[in-house]
Amino acid sequence: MFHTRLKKWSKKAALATLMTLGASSLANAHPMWLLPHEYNLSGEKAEWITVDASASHTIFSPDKALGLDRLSIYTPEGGKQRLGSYYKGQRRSVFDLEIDQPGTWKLELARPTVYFTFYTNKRGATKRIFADKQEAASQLPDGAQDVITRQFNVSTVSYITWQAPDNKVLELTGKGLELAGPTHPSDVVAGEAVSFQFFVDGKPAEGVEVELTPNSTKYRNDRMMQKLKTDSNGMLTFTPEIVGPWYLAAKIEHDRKSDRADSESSLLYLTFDAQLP
Amino acid sequence: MTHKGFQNKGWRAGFAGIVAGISLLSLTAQPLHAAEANSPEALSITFSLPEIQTGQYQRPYTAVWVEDASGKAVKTLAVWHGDKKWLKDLRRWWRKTGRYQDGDIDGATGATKGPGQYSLSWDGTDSTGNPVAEGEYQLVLEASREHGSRSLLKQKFTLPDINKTYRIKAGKELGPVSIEQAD
Repeated sequence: MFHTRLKKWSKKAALATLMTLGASSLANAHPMWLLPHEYNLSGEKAEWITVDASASHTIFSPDKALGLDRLSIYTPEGGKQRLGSYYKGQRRSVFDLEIDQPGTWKLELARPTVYFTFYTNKRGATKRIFADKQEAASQLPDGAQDVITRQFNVSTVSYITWQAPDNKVLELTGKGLELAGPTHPSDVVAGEAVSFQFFVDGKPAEGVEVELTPNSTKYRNDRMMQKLKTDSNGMLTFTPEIVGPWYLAAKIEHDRKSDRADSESSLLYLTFDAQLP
Repeated sequence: MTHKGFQNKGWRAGFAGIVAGISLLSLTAQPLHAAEANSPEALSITFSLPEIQTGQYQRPYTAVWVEDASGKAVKTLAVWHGDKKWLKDLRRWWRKTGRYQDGDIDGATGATKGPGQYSLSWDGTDSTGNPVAEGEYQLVLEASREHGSRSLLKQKFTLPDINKTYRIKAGKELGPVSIEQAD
């Protein structure tokens, strides 16, 4: 009896390991998030929000602080601002932002494009170096096999709305992996269906892999992460059942190569608030 | 590439020229013993804000409104609040209608009110003052109190469906509610 149970368990464990390996490129990239203290504001005067920024696998417990020099702040009127001063600790970065225009704001932290070259060494272990195809040529050890260079474009976004939501910051740029309506990110309500459409270079993107995780994973046994894919229209439909902030991780491998990489993937992270019904 | 617009809540656009008088006629927020409103009513509502024994009692932010069958706000009957900074804590009301600053809100606005019985009425018009179509609707009451809780109460009803009475059990911050439909 005990034996069979153990067997069952190890099978499960093996399966879990396999799944982790299969999703390793998505899991490897540290999930970065921007967590505003409030997503919707109602005052008559400009208000300050405070935002935590970290990278972690436990949603939303800070683990690794993020540099925010590259943070872009998009205003409802179409402007773009840089962040002034911010605090960077060991596990978390923090900034405050005055929301002084009604409408929807977008915060975006885009990582510089990163190249990893993966290979198998003489002993059969999988290794990686931070190098594009050309750089790798001189850096790879003798006997390196199964060499593949992957390019990752990574960004994390969050939306804040003062008074009524609007769509200026949701207009597509036509570059890379992007997310748009029909559900406005400030209009997500627990228990109600949400539809987000994903685009690559301005065209609806089928087969985007999406992981959705509700907040506070450290206070429960089940991570409650859902794995979904966009349909032929690039549409993702789901119903968040838990109130509070959610983490969305979207990934797609593009169908293209370059002189610097054998494959190119884009990762887009989003935090959004599932509001009380 | 065309990408469809977001759900823009087009139904709420263009309410700027709301006639204040309509709102005044349709809304009466007064103690129960006072005279009933003379306007034709689709709905008369009485509810209470409970007395709560606590050292830090702040009057609740309270909103009462009507939604259609799809959940769109049709008309705000009352919104009692202080600093608008906290209006968002009337989470549903804020999302459904408050944030769009429609014309019907001015006439329904008042200061927060303490424990007691209140009565409101709805004349069966939407936020532009036009009579609504027959069909399914829902009355929604929401109250949220600093240091306290939030209550959300809902009752579906059909127009026309005269002389029907509904009761909603009290929540922590709101109720009980009784609703009467009349012709």
